[in-house]
Amino acid sequence: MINLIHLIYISAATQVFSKEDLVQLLDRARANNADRDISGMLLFEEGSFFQILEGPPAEVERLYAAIEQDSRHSQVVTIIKEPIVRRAFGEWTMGFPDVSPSDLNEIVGTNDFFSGGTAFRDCSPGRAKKILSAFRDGRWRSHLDPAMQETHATRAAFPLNSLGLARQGLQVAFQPIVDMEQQAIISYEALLRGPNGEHFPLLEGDIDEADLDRFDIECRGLAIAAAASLGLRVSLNLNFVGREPGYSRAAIQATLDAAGRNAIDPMHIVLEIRKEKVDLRPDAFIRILDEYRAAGIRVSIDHFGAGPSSLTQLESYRPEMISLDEQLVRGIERNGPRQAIVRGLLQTCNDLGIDLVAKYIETIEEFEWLRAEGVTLFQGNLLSEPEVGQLPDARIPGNAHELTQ
Amino acid sequence: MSDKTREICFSFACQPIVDTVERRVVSFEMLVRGTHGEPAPTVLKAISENDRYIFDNKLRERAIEVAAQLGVKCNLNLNLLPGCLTGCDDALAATIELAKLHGIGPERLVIEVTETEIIEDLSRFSAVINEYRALGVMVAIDDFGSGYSGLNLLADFMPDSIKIDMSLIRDIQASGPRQAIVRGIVRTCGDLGIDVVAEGVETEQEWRWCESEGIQLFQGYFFAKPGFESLPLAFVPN
Repeated sequence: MINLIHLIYISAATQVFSKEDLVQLLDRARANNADRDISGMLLFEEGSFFQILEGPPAEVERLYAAIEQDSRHSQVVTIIKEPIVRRAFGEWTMGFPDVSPSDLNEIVGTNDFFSGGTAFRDCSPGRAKKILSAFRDGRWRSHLDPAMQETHATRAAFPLNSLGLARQGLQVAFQPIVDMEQQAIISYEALLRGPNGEHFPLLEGDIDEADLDRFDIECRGLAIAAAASLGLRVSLNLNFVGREPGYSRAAIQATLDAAGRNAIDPMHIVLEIRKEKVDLRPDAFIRILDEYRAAGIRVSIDHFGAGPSSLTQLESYRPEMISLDEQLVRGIERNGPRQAIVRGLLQTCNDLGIDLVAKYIETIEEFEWLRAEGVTLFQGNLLSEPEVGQLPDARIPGNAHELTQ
Repeated sequence: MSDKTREICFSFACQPIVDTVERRVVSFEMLVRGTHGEPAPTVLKAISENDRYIFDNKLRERAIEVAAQLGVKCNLNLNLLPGCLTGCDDALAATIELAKLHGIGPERLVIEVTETEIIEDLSRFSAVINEYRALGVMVAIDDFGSGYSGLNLLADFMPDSIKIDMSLIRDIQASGPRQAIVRGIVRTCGDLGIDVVAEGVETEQEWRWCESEGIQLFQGYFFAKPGFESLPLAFVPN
């Protein structure tokens, strides 16, 4: 029984690869690999691709078949395909900086993969490393036509493997959002949990800063796959941290790709823009969001009323939805200022056709006050606690009625 | 104070805040200028970091002197450099004393702070500002709506007034989203007894829209430009 193989190939680029192209290529590859348990690395040097894929045989072969069809390279030569006992690149990302567009500025053209830094030295020994050495020594270079050769002065090396979230025991919990008018669950928010149910903030510190972007992308892939496998029929709210445009575009595309692979309609995807970094070059970020809105995705601003959220965002982002910050709803039935703030916000949202979700609802008093003011969308432990591995039903507060999706 | 900071010359311009229902000027905001009326950044960028607290105090001293010389009878809106209120234990004590010497009681002083400044250290900010409020000093949140957390802030810290950021006021008569946002602000502030000032009003249409929604305090070029070392007359159409 063969559990693990590696496949190493070389090919020649048929087009000029800009930094952005490389980042996009890599992000797609990583998003795909996240689901497939594939690790490895991609080396791009002066127009030649050198790639090592490691993983379960069926997955590697399926991926390689797709790679061979890719028109962005030609002269694809298989160097070796063979069973291996353990991965050479499974932990490799830990020793090698993740690539974001800004990092790439430094890596492309300047990073000497083989002699500088620790990347090559840190590869686990084995045949993959030996073949890599041969490549270093000038063998296996694809024969490029001279015109292409001149345009490919860039070189860059990337860890190809995913972080393997599922392998690390990360899980996804789901919490329903209930529409009281329709008496129906309209969406589930996906919430990341650790192997023992730990909440995300506890995990955050365990992740290398350099891996955060990739972690973020893979979490959404994991959530989408989990929701699909549980038979999601309503929308899915996914957390999203807006960052620089290159990352944001790749990350949203990866999310749509994952939805596509799992047969989830893009109209069912709601990106909940989280508070961190939301104001980083908002114009560029909003333009990217708008591009993907054309494909059907919707945007929600999370933690509204706190952190970097501001009223002017209702105009600049034009979100389809906002969810109230926890501080605004806690004990609202006896807090005048919170009541006044939520009344004003509700009026603004009604005027603009923005759905307002009262999130973090824990008591019947909070629920009843908000319901009486006209709030229709609710989420919180009072209605349903987040559950790992299922799309839980919701209780209608003050009534024995249970809702399923 | 470094020589470089000592050499910075500055003065003040005054811009009225008007109540268009009662048709009177309720306050003058004191805006720092160069000695020949140069805009504020030419003065502020010259301050060296070590001298911020001292200079901040000097700014308000001068603002009060200018206002007193001009015979201001209404309130005075004063600004602080970012970080100075919470970074310095008695940032306002000298200002209040000097104002008294000039016959301006603390109940006529309005301190303008931004959302960002408050949120950076809310408990410290509240502790400091409440001491001055006990003396009668009022607090206005400047540029409201544009910065972080404007809304939540009102639950934790209730100012005497807010000044709606001019980006929300600009062409409001033609912008649905801005109208909806400002209506929400007016409603919340009305419920909480917080005065609302529309800042940066430049056209009659902007003013009329805001007034029709119940706002009665205004500041902006439409009523009066800042007057350099002078108290400009405010224009309010019938």
